[in-house]
Amino acid sequence: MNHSSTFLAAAADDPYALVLSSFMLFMVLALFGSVFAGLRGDSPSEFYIGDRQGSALKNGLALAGCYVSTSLLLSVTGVVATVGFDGITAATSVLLSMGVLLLLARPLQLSGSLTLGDLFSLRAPGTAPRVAAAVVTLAVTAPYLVAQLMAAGNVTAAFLGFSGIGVQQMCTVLIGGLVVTCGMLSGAKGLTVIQVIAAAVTLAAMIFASLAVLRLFHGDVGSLLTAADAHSIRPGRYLSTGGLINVGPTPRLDIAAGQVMTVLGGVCMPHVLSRVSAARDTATARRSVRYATGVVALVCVTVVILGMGASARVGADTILSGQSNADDSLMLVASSLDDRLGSGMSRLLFTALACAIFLSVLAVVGATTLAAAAALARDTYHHLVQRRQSDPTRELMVARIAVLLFGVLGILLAVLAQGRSTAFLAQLAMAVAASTVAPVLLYTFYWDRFNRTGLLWAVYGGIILSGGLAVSSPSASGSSQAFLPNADFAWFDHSTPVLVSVPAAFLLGWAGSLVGHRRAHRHQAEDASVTSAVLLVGRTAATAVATGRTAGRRPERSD
Amino acid sequence: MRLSAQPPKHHRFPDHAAQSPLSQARRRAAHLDLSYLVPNALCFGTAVTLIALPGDLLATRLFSTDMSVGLSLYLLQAVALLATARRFDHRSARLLDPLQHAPAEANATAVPVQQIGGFR
Repeated sequence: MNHSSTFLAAAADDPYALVLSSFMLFMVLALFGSVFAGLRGDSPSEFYIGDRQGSALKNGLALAGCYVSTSLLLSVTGVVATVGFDGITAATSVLLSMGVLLLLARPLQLSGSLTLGDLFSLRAPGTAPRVAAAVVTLAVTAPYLVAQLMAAGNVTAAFLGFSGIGVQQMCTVLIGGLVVTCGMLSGAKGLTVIQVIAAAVTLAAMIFASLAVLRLFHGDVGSLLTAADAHSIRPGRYLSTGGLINVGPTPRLDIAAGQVMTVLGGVCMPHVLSRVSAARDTATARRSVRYATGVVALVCVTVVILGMGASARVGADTILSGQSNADDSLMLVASSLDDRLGSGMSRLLFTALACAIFLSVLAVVGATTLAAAAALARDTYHHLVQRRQSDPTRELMVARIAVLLFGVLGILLAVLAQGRSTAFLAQLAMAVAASTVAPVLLYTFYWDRFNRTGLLWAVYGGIILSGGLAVSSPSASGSSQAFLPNADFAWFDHSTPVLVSVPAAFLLGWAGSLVGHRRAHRHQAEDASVTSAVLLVGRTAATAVATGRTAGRRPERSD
Repeated sequence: MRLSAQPPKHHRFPDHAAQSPLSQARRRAAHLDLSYLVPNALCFGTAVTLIALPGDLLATRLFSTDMSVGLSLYLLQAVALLATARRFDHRSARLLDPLQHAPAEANATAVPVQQIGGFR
């Protein structure tokens, strides 16, 4: 496709116009549906996480929709297409992180948290943990949002037949503006509609494309694997590790650390956690995660098949020609099916995949923006500025303004960073989440002695270490594929900081809790046991158990 | 006070009269978590260790087929995850979920949760 095959070509009766029109029509309908669904919600909690009335299937699809990002659909497919086994490892890690989420589903739902600040306050009440939660939320969501918006700009520009940075930036602004408007108007209720549609369309399109690829090889996975091996950048070593990361003193250790980062970081994203909290009871929460695990498992299998298909049909050299990454693999393999499927079916497949990618961008960007806005409005404005004085109308207004501000900031940063590597930003977000949220959540849910000091040490230590080491790594500077290829300030030899930051954050959380425990008062120890009871049997039951012990305590409002 | 909803008789947790309902619930939850976590952690730990170790064991073909050790291990991980997730969900629904409602029914005069601290 070139410039002539864009909007202008629609007038010239080009078949591409049909694809484009279908795409636009579908997007408008999806956005209209989301805004319409969200107009009825008018309380802050409904704006942050929805009305908690959805079925397990709906919640599960929405969870899968906000979990399956362009990083999985485009980047992992590209890695499978070019280097093989490391991409399969990444896809497996994405699936395994859903397994960790299932373990956390029960306490997450029982905690009734709307934001990360609510979760942090379970063991550590006060303003400092709220501020720490807001800082973590912004540190995780900002780079993730920018990476998603950049990918959205790239894909849309490619879909329209352009490849210049200017057009990509324009597409980023348009899509970002659309998502921010949608998020401001509809909130979580409307976004749920988008996420459900995104999961369904993505799953259907990916399965359809995978079956088409398998049909080319007569359903024989062995011959697909052989062909993929032959056309990859490492013929004969397609199923060996080390294709993605082969620099530094310990590349194998870096790959293993990357796997840990994906498992822990993926599950600890604030927008994913709030999606699980949105279930109406623990059974729904668990079942939602199970359904989402099934959807993500299918998507991961199709990502691997399509990656192999891209290598076998297009070839790694063609995919990488003139580019620093292989993110175009998915669309290239869809285009390559033209001769076998027929032009009509091939165009339908291409349109379905483009819709899937676009919808997943909307779902993830919307959820990320909302999580950041909730942190700003609830954890900072409501709890710090308003001192927990309940004014839902004002809080809701602040939340909508926060969506606007955070969204605009994200769009500006994405425009500035357009053309650079999105992998670094996605990795940074994952590393910060794995190094801060993961230790705090695990200690909160499973260790009674975890306290405010441990939380603050783990959070700020984790942020400083993961952020600092990520910026000092070869992914940030010093190589042609780095985020800043023309600069070189890399001194940390490992490609991912989690090798150091995750163990250090766990250690800091433990040591801080021991130090803080010495200063703790007796009633704080009581609070810890009540918190454990709440995370075990829920608020109502824990209240019943604690009634006698807490009689006479001064009541405090939760909202 | 006693949790009214009892698990089925064939459950594996002895009903110790001396134990408080919360400690029983805690034991059940810990047991369920572990039975879910251990097989998955073993698979994951094996994969991470084999990746980190020198040599290319994961690329070794199984019995001269197209299947490698790495692919088989990942497939096993996925199957183990889906199977243990299903089991975990069913057992949690049977053993833990009833505990959420029992004390409230037994103690209708319970104070609001805001009064017990920890949720500010």
